[in-house]
Amino acid sequence: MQRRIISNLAFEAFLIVALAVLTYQAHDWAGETRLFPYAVGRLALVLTVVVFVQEALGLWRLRKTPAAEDAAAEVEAPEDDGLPDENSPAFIARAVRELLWVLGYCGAIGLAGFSGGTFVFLFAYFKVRAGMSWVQGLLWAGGSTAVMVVLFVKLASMRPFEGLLWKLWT
Amino acid sequence: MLDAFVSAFFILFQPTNFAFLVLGILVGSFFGLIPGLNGVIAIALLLPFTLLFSPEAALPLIIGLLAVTTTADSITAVLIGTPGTAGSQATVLDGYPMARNGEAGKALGACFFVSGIGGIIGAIFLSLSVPIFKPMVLSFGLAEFLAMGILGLSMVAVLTGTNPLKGVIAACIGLMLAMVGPDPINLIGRWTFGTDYLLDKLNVVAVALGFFAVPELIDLLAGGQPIHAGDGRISGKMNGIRESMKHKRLIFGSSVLGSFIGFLPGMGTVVANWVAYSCAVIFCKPNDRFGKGDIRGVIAPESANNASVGGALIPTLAFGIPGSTATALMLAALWMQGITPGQSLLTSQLYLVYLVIWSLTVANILGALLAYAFTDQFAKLANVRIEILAPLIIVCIFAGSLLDTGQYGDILVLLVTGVFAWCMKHLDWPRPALMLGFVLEPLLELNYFQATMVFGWHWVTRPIVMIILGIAVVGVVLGYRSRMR
Repeated sequence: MQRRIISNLAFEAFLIVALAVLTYQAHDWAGETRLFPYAVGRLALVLTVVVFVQEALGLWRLRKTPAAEDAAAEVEAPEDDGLPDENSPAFIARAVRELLWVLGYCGAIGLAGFSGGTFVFLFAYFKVRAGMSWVQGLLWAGGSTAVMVVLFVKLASMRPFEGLLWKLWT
Repeated sequence: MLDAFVSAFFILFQPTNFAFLVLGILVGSFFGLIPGLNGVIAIALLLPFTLLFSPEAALPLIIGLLAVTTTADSITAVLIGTPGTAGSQATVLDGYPMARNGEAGKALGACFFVSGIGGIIGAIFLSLSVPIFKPMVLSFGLAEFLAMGILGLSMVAVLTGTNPLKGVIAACIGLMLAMVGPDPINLIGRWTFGTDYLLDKLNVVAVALGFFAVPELIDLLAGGQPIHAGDGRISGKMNGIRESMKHKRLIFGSSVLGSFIGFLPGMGTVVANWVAYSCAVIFCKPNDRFGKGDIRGVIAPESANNASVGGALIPTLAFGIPGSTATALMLAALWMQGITPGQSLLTSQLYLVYLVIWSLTVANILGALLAYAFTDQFAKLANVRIEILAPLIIVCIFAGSLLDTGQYGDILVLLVTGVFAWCMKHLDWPRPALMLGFVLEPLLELNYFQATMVFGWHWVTRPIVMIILGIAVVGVVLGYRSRMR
């Protein structure tokens, strides 16, 4: 329970900083350009501060009376329905690992372009996460990349993003 | 109006357009079938592709997809007690016990049959609403559309989670995201941080994919749950259809209820599914078998969730006000096609509204037939390993966000919104409220400046505006009260 509130507080603190910066920037704009961003930004900022204070008070109360935390944990305890608990530390750790894969793919596209980045990402994922053999991984990744390139670049006329390495090379 | 009705029918059955409808049905069935994936992710994925086609092809594609996810999702709900999408949660209550009692085929036969009927009733509900809403929309001006935008934004009250303040903040963040780029009057860049990329508006596809596809896929992979939907032959589906036909009043009543619930902003298939089930338990006698494998507990929610799709399209097409995440994405697709919902859609492009209605009708029939004919194969398809499927979908998401402009900035937008949305999901911040703000901002800001230029502050005192704003206030109060209870 406390961990959840602390996570919420961290997220809200980030929002407060981001909204404050954006609203401060909007303050300098003129006339119609400023009206909506400044008004909406200020409203969002004030409300986020209110939510932050609410959560902080909640955390303070929980720490003050440990019995309240036990009661809250009892209320929050999910039924065992065979599905993973999406807020357990183990689940969050796995989700962060998957996010890192996505981040890696983003970097791979930046470096090797869409086709190259896709192949590298798919091959690495199939090999490491899906447990395929080298040959299986290469075949699956090669085939899937070819399908994606035909589908998006050839048929859907996507402008092929070439990547940093190609730009440096040429 | 009759001309538009008839011409839409022939447009739909042109080979290319019909092929797109079938493609939408196949993709929708697949996304409905796999637990964790849903229609919203599917629309977000197909959104960039709709740019490449004419509206006559793109609309059947999207409607085909939207219509059938709530049919295919019942397969895993019945066979393994895991709803394919949230829209078939209540179906599990009686569908799964029926499967355990050896009546899986009967339950699925009933599901497919009543889903088709429910979807058709939803389409009829939508077509009957056109003559009612058309004169209303035609009498609207700038001020009224601004008021409709405010009414749309007030739906945050029902789209928000347990904390209403978080809903308002999320909507504000959505509004601010949509403000990035040139302002609508002076075209001066806002929040560009000195980059050329942000001189344009944020790519709606990248934002939609980031907010709704990335977090779901990450969690699906992190869950690592093996899905096993069985591989045996499922028989007895015809018995389910015969049994369903004995409950005509229940099918009709649940479908009408589902259509109406779909029409109400912020409700949608999940609420329709549960309310129809609850009503069946209350009004059907005897009711002691509900929850233990009563076929009526399958008929009511399944007919309602398909019917709700037709109802949900009414405010989107008539006023450009999306009442759910799926319709918000559909609204984005309409914009990308250069179609503005409201006056022009209901006058010069009325055939497109009827194209949606015909697509909805045909998709529900074909979707039900497809699910009936290929139940065994569909059940096997649900066994696909997520470690193989998910990376391919991730590639589609990245390619989809690159498709429109081909700029690396779109990928960064996707990544940033994806991480932000994942945090929101796990901290119970309502993402639909954010998307609502994002899609409504252009309508609000431009109409506000134009309405105040024409009417000054008197735009607020126009009778229709006052009525709409009154409805918005009542909606906010009722929405918050129901959440606070």
